[in-house]
Amino acid sequence: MGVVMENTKCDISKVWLGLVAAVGACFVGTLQAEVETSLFGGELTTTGFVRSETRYNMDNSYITGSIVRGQVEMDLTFEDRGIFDKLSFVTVIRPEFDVGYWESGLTDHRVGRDASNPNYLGTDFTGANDPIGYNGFGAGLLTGGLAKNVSNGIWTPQQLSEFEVIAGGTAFPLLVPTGGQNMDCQNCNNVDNSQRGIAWGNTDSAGKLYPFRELYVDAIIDDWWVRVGKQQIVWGKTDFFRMQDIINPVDFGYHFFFDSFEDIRIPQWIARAQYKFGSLGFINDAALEFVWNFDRFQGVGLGNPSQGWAHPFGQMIGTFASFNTYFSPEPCVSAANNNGPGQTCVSGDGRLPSGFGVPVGLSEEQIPSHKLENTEVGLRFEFRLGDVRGALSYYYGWADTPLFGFTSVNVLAVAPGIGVDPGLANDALVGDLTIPFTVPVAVMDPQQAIAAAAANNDPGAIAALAQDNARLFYEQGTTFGGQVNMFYEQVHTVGLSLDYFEPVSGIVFRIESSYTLDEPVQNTRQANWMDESDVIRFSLGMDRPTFIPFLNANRTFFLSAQIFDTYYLDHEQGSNDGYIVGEHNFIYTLFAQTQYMRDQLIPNGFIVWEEESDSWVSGITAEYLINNNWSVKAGTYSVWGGDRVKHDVGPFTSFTLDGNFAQNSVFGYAREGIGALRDTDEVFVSIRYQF
Amino acid sequence: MNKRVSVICRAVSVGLLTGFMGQALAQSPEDFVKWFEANQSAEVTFKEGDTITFDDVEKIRAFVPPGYQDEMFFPGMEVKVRGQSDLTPAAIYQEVTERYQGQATLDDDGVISNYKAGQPFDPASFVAGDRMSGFKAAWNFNYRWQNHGLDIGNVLWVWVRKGDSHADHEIMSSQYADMFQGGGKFERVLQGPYQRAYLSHRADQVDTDFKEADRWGENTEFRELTAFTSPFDIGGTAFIILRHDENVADDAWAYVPSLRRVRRISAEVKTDSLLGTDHTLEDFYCYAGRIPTYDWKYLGKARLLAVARSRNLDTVYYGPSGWTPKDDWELREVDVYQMIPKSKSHPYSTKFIMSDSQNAAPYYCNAYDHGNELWKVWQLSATWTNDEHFEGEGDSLSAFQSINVIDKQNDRGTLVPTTEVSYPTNKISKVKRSHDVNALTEGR
Repeated sequence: MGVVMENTKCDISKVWLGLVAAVGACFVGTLQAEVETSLFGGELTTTGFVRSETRYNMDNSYITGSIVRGQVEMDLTFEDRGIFDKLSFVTVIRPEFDVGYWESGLTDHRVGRDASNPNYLGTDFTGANDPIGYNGFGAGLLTGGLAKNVSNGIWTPQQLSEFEVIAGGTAFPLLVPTGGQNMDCQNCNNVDNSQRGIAWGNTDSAGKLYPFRELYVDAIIDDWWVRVGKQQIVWGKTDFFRMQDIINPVDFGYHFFFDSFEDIRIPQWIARAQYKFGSLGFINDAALEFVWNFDRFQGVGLGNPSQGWAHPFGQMIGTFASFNTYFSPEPCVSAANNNGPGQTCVSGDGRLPSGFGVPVGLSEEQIPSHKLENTEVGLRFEFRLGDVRGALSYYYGWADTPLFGFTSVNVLAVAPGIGVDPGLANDALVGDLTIPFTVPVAVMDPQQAIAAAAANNDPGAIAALAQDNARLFYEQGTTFGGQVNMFYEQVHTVGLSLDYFEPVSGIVFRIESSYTLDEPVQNTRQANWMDESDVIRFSLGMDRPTFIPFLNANRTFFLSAQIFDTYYLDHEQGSNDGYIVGEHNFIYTLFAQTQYMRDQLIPNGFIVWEEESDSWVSGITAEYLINNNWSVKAGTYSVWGGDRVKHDVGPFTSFTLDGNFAQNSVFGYAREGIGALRDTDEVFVSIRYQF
Repeated sequence: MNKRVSVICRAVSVGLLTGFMGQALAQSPEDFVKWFEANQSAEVTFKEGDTITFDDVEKIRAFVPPGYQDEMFFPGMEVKVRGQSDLTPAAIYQEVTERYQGQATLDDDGVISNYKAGQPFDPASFVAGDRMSGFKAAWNFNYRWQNHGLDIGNVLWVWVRKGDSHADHEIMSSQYADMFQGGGKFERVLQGPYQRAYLSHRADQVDTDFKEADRWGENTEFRELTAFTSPFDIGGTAFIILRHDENVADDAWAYVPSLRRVRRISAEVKTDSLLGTDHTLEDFYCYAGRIPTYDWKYLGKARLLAVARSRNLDTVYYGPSGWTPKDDWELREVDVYQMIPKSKSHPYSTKFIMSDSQNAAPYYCNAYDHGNELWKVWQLSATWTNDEHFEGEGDSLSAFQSINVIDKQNDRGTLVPTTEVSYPTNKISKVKRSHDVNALTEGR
């Protein structure tokens, strides 16, 4: 008990250390109150804040971040200039610095540039918990496994500590890089950001003009409203979820969904124009909006693997990128172990002792190139019909969630009835350079590989083609992984949202729905794991301010409940294969907020239940507005429920220690839904000075 | 020295008496009615040009509503009495009143029909103690002369705590410092514009059946925009309320900057505290709700000292808690009527409203909690738009200058002084630009 107490004290002192360090940074420079001045005949208003926030992971007892953020909002407005009734130039500048990331000692080296201890999902990397990652296919062989990079003198032993293992103790453990390592992953979002950049919040998800978060021109001309520049557009009516709110991607790797979408939405370069009809036939408050997102494509942010709140999928991207970086290269050995000409590692030749010599892992994120046909367009028509206000929308753009797809698989090419015909072999899985041992493989397009294997009388391939289920081929263990890329596709999405106040019950009803045609989905029954499905998303929200006198005599509680469903119309799924999401994914949310002390104390709480994974998220926060300038906020978030889930590993069956096709790794985490973050319970405190 | 002791003793005794009277006579609705009855026969012993000080408060006590007396009477007070003014509404409003008054009817729930424009009911027909007269007084108040509606460039919402000082508050280093000359601790100050735009029952729209011709304004009494520009945590928040011209619930929407979207809000919010102030949305102007959702009762006429024609463009406060207007006070005849909520969930058990008999401008109101204890008192100051120092538009209007509420139970208040006040003749295109629900989307 005494030890526990001592550790607790130590942890608390670290929290305060982080807080003090961060707050200290608040006082750099002199802060003025809101400034309004005349400039070029217009009025320039400057507001903003400096905030320090420290987050502490309660499950694993470490600080996940200690972030000092400054935000300056400037608005230069001209009234009645030329054709403009109003013309504004607006910018939001938001630099920030994560003290915890930069000084990893503050995070117990769990997070940050020098992280050598595991993050929330993993454990320390050892030979025991990931033998293939550590030693390859055997400690006695001289190729394969990261430890060989050390034993051959290429790496220092310290470099092995820059990895953690997720799904440790299972038959398919995975390596994840912890510190900010450079991966061989072309165009991969948030993977190869510099450590300094990550500490400054200048990741790929921050866009090109960091720290300019928003920068746009606003113009009102009669009934026209035009806004052009880097901005956020919100079309949805639902809290926590995005259906029509799809124009800007969101950075979930920053702090999951615990920060408001305003803070984690990724601003885009967009031109929007709205025309207000006023009344139009039998409807009123009618307006038509046109949107053209001409920015370079940006996917959702899942975080850099070294970040404190990197999403499990972000960590998975790190895993696959490290597979490609460390296991795809041709193997080599040190001069001391040299057993033949050309086998000695030469600096810069791209070879590593850990390599297997076949392409495995994530090599590229196929970001749509920045050209006219890849820009996004949308229309939205808003109206009021009697007491109902609604919006119809259409958007043609890129689905912003990445899809992992195999561009090639490594198929055994040894004999009739096993994999493909030996004559098709074009590469070799290298087991040992000292005792020549290679396995001939064919690196082929996944669909062609199955067809070729079927022609070679491979029974699994024949069954896969007959039943249109690639898993029947991959589960035989005759493939040695493959090369994946991340893909995006353009989709058409139509949406309808309505809101209505029902006066008898005092409830505001909010409905939002969308229908997406041929949305890309992950389906492990497909040879390349990629599929398409029409998807309907629907939510019903109910809001009611309610007096609960015994809890608050003077102010109502704002109570809000939501039901949200995602329905995949072309769904197919087995117990461990097919889609990684259920046909329906129902999520229920409840939110409550009230105010005390004349709204200076604002507590709120929420709880979320995801039915498919039977997992929960809850949060309680309280903000105290000390005066017009200073405020302090503290709270806690918890994730619980759900079980470790297994899913198909496809061509990687031969890498599993038990040869089983279903593992927790890879898409098991995805199938766990919210529950995958169950080890992230957090307490945080922030101090803000606004001006 | 003796004189000083004497003043102190008198102050203490008057204070005790005031306090006693406050406790004994002005803490329940029944006590308010007693004060109202006493007001009927009270003798006026002051005259134009007098300056009433703390020594002479008994001269005016009967002409100040209970609850507010404690705030208006303090050592150092100076109530300058001005002569009674003619605050008759604009000629166009009177003409329409002459033509249509008496045509409007009420059903048993107080729902009005056949109303065109102008003052709907003849106050001479009101009967003290009568329920329907209460409804009529409330409708007269609702349809008082306001041209196209009130437009305020900047509203200040000032949280005040009784006593202490606000000398160190940042507002005292702003352009508004001169307005706040008294004590009181300022806890928080919000700012932002406000505009209510009437779209029907407008006396000037004779050719279009007293309505805006544009279909956008059809079946709409008014649209109201309340916005906040500072401080940062609330800046950008904006509300639009649409009052239908029929007996249905208002529609209300809010732009929430942290969500960056327009959110439908429940009309129930209108009885909740507005962003932590001591006002609700329904407390604007003393009463801004829908008349038929309450029961009403007419008490009769009274005479009150009110800031009906401020000598200042903007309200100037003084006093130990800084929530009393330092201004000219005029003896006005007012209609007194009582609002009685039908819903038990309403925060007030009842509210008395006192508005000018000549133009229905509100001057005071008192609200009581469900224990029938006095909870809040409001005092409103007005300017006369025909006065030289008034800078905005508006013909013969009793213009809104400030509404100041004091929470008697919690020793605090919220001052809502306004600047850049006007009652413009609007272009419908301009109103649409700012009051269309879609305009909220333009927020940041």
